[in-house]
Amino acid sequence: MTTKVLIVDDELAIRDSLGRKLRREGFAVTLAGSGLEGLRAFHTERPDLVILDIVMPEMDGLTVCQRIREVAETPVMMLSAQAVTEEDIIEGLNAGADEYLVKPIRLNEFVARIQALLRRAQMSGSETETGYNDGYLSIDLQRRHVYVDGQKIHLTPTEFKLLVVLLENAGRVVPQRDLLEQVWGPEYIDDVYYPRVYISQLRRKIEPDAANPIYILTEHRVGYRFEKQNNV
Amino acid sequence: MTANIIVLLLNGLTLALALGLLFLILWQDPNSETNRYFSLFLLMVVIWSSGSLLARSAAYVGAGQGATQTGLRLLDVGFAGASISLYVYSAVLTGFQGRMFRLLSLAGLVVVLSYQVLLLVSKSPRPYDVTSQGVLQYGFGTPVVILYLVFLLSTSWLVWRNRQKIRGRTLLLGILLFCGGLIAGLLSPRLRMLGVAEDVSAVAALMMSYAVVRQQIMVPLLGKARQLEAVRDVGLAITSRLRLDETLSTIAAQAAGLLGADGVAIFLKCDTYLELAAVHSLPPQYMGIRIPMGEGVVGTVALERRGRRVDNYRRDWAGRPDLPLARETFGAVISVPLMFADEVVGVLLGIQGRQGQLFDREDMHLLELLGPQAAVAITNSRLFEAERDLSTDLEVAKNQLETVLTSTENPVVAIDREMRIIFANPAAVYLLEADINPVGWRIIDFVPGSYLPPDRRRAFRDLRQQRVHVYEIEAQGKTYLCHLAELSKPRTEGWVVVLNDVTQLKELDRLKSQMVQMTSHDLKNPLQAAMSYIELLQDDGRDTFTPDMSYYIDNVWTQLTRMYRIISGILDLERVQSGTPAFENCALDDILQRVVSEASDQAQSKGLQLELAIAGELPLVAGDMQQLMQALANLVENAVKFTPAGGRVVVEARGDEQGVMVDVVDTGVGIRVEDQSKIFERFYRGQQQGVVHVGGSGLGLSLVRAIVNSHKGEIGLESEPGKGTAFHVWLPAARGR
Repeated sequence: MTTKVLIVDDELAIRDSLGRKLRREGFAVTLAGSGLEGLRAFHTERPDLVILDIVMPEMDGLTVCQRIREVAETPVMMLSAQAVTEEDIIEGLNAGADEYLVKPIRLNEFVARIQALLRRAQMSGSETETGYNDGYLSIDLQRRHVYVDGQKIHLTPTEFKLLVVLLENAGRVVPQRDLLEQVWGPEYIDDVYYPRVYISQLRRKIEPDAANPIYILTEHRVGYRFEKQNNV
Repeated sequence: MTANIIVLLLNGLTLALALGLLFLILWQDPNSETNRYFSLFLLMVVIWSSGSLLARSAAYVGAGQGATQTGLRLLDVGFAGASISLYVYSAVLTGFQGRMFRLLSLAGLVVVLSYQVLLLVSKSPRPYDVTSQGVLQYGFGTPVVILYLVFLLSTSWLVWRNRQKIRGRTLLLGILLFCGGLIAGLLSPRLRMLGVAEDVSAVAALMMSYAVVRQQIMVPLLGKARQLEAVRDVGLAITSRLRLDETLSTIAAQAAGLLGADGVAIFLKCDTYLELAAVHSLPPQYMGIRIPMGEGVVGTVALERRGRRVDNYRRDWAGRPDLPLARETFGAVISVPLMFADEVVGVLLGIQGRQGQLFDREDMHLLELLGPQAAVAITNSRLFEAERDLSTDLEVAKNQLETVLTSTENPVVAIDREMRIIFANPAAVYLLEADINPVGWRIIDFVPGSYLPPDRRRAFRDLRQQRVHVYEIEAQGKTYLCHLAELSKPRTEGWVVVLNDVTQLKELDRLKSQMVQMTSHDLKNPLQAAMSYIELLQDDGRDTFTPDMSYYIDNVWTQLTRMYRIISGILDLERVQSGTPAFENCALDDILQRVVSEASDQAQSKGLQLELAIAGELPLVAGDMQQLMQALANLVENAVKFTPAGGRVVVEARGDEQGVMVDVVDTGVGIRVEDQSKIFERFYRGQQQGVVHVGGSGLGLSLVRAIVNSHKGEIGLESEPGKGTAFHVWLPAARGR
């Protein structure tokens, strides 16, 4: 089955050139010239991956990403020329993107990143462990379901993968670089802001009080540690 | 008859008075030479007078011849003694004699007296007559008359010649009158018979006695009182803290009064010369005249540190004249050094006109008394003036400083160790919105907490290390950069903070950042499109392009990537400068290994030797790993880029408790001395001899410096063109966890 990719960018030359490259690599590509057009295409085409420019007229990429996250966990890749500081990238990731690329990017690397992201998203819960349940937080590794206080919550593929890696190492500190390597892949080893953003999102979703976490604890300047709880 | 009675009465009175004065003078000072000679003279006058009285009374009452004879003998002894002793006295008084003279004169006196006494004892008769009215008539032998005349005329000549040396006109007049009376009596028998000689001489002796008593007893007593007064006035001058010129004028006036001098000058010592600083009864134009030490009377006095008297300036002083027209106008001068703490501070010069009195030892004594007081007064005034000048200077400096601080728009606040405000300029008062003077208030009562340094611990650390602590505050809608520093090091008296309004700068900086972002965004999109199409073109044309076409396409690609590097460089620099690095503990040895291994391909392809040498274990460094890696990679890549084939690039690292030092040393083309200081500036590219086609943005080293600075590290370089370059980067070690 052909993988469908939606490219949203207001620059015709960019979406055209990127689209051509992806088609050559065997992807089915849909192009959209604005945020609104992109959202419509998302709903009609149901792509496997979305590539979003950030600065666009009418509706920017961050908003498009948030709209998509409201309804789906489809992997989203930001592709922006705007990133100057780390805060810009974190802002993009906070909007729900799984990946943030900075223009200009070489086409081969672009394709490699797309493939890595797709791999991450398609990763099946192959672990034999049944998961974790302390009454408040329950993680079903087989079905990839997470319940908090009895309510099912939605985690993006990256968030879920992050949670799984931390759970596998429960009680031990996972260094940032190990986390990056295991969750995102070896080529992400230096993108230290990824874990920071995802950990805070995870905390918002699973912790009773995100400001005073009990499950995911920070080991300052080293990494993160998942702590199992007996009674919450 | 009546005349005779009057003569007798006068004689009796003179006798009594002379006796009285004799005792007075002997009582006053029996050791004084002049006193002794004057007493001798008076004694002779008494003998003479009593002889005269006895002879005349005996003749008058018709007493026996024996009494008259005795009276006449006594008269002779007294007459001879008085004449000779007066001469001796005058000689002593005028300083005319030598030691032998005095001896000879006394011997003469003894001989004459002995002869008279011999005559008295041998009772050889003295010729005389008694008139019908009972008046005594007697004569002198011619040799005796000549002898008396010689003495009397010599005495007159002596005192007239040396009249300047004789204090008091009364004394001078008395001596001359005495001589005159005696000469008249000798020469005229009629006057002798009338007793005029005795009367005139008796009055003269009285005048002299009065003059001597006045000079020996009354004047010194008065002088003492005046000395006390002078000393008191000088003391007053000291304590009333007059200005130096006023003090000097006072001293000059007092000295002039004390000495009875016609003029007084005071010189002050300055380095190697004396400068005339005050005059009394001298032309004011003389002020400021300078005399070198050792020259003139004053220069000599200052050098010898001893007072001097000169009786006749024109005759006795051969050296340089002290003042203009000194030779022509000065008579006697007196000069003493003014000493304080064994240092000559000045010289006082007293001057008499050509016709004025001479100065004597008494005057010198007076000046020696006044000198130290004057020196103290001068020193005191000088110190006082120096202190006043200093305090005036301080006041001026303080006012200037205060004006600067008051007029500046930068708020300035100073506090003491108790954190109380000791100074706040108007700008600060405005900023604090204070409606009262904040001086004296505790800073926490007056200043909002948000105005204080947010990181107190760091502030104290900075201040302890003698540095200025800089922090930013928001106040009244403005942004201020605050510089906090200690007051008066090394012992802290307090702190001062100076605020700079950087609102506009901040806004400009924000606009600049915004522009850089927009520009980069606008440039990056076309760059992305162009690069993508080139890549597609390269894919498509791999088999169909001619070598020329491939060459063109490759060149377009190279230029696009170069453009990309420049844009990235600008953005990296912007990012490092605008944001604080994300601090984490970084292991520099890991970073260096990755940097070196990434550059090794390039080095190998250029035929270079690239080595990494890490000495021992390096401490962790707090910082942004990405940035540190980028900085070190830039340095290593630079070294590789500028080192010709066959060269060597060595990366060395060593650490201690304080931090890590990384040296990147190459054997490359080197950097010219004139470029070394500019090499870290944006877009600056040094002229590298023999190196062409080295692509770069000119931003690499400025990024390195920006990163090192944002990590509170230091960077430096040593280079010699043709030999190579060594970059040194020091980064502080992370402090505990």
